[in-house]
Amino acid sequence: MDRMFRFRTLLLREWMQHRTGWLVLMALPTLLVLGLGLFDGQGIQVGSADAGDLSALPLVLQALFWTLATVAVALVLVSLTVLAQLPGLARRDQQDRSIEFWRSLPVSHAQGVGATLLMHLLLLPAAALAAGLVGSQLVVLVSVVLHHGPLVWLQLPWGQLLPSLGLGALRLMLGLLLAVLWLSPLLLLTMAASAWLKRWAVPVVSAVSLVGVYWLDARLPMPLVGPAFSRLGTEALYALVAPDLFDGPRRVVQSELGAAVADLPMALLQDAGRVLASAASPAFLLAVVVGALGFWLLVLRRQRAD
Amino acid sequence: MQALIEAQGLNLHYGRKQALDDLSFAVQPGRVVGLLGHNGAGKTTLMKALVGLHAAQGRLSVLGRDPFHDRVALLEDLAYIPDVAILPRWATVSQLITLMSGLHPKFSADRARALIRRTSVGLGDPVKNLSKGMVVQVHLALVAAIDARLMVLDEPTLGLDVLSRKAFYEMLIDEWCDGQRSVLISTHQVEEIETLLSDVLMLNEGRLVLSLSLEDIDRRFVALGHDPAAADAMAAAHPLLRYRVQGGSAALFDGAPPPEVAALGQRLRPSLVDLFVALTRRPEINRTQEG
Repeated sequence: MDRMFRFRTLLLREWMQHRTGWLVLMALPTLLVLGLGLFDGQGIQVGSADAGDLSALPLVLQALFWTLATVAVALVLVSLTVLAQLPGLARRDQQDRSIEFWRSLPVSHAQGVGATLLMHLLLLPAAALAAGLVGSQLVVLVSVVLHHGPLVWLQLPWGQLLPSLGLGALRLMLGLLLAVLWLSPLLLLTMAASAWLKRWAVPVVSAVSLVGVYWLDARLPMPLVGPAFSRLGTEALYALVAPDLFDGPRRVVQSELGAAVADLPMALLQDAGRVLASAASPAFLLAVVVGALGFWLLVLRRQRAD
Repeated sequence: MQALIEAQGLNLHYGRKQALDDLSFAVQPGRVVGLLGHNGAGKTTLMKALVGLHAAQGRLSVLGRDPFHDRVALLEDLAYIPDVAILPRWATVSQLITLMSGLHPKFSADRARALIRRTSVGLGDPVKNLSKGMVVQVHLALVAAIDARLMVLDEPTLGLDVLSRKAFYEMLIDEWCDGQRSVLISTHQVEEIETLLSDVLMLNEGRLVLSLSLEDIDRRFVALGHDPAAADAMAAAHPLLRYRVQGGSAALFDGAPPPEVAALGQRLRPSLVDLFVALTRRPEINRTQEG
């Protein structure tokens, strides 16, 4: 039995344990946006006031809007869920007292911790985003059919939209990976604090952060802690949402629509190159190293779990 | 025949507290070994060291491996039920079998299902709906489906009622012990497992006070039942323990008592419980009795 097979089984364990909540999490964004599209699609204002109602925009832009809206809701929901669960996740097996059962199996501590982290920090958000992307096409279908009739949906420029959606999905996954790596010092050290300090973790982490930002930075020749937090957050956000990619629907409306949609795959590729270039920096390497320290602390805690 | 477990000069500290103190023993294949000791004697610490969850000083070899540095490989050949083993409550029995199949290379899902079917537990039952006795039986069925050479059980029946304990030991002996595999089992219920054991390890405050086979215990230790009139003579011979048995008095000796003392009583088979009490009494109790 190779290590990968065992690791996959550990991932399966995560799915078995959390699947009900995860299925709800994956379906919820589509249902929410679907509700919005069904009941209030006419009233949605896009961009500035002169941009008008959503349903007045070209169909291709409506399709992109619903896709982005659904994926954005999925991203927000899954991010909130992961952040809320993360501290508890570090002590989950201790709290339900099954830790000794898991440690009695021929699985390394690093594999045990790694599978949990991979599933909750990367695969779950990736699945939620993918579900949001797929679900968004249902929203597009319902919205277009409801407001414009069934035949209009068939007239969408699928030849242009599908490559954009495919590349957009890949760009999202890349962004997710980079965002998690950028945030890994904050995420994994918080988890490690929770694993070692139990209920004191959140107060201690908060206090240490505040002391760093407001006390230490004031005494250093140049502020360090605050800018570091800011950099991590900014890079993670930019890795995910690509703020330079879209300059608002208004610009697209005013330019040649066909060219804009046709250019979208190239724009996505260029944006992927930009976030990768941001990652090729000492700051990113440092973030990954500090994240690895958090991982090591989690493994050590599992090894010493008593 | 190579021993499955070999310990030589084993020491383990928790800070300044010495949890294991210079332990040396061996467990041969095909044996059922009882690890006996009071709370805090070091049983769980020893078992965790044996399965690589604690690092100990000294020489320790389990199935030819260093447990701490080769834990994952060791656990592939070893079945282990920890003392506070709680099966995950969110899982069903069937899910646990699926997970064990993917995590343990020597686990047989078919055998686990067959063993589960002999209990009152259904494969689709969630663990959270099972009684404590049922959970322990499921756990034993899972580890008994591992084709291992050694099973380590740390207080497996703690907190179970007598019927559940009986069912557990029946499954253990019937389904796992085949004369080649060994079991190391720690428990407080000494009297319940005495008939199952071939060997005994007794721990007292981290020290090994006895490591013998049951046959050797019968040869080495002598219990004499006697009349009250012989009590003073028995006490003068410095027995390990004086106790009540079947309404009368008895004295337990390490080795043969002097012939004139032996002539005052009738030889009895020393029970493991009496031996356990004699060898693991706390120092403060011993001092009180000596006083």
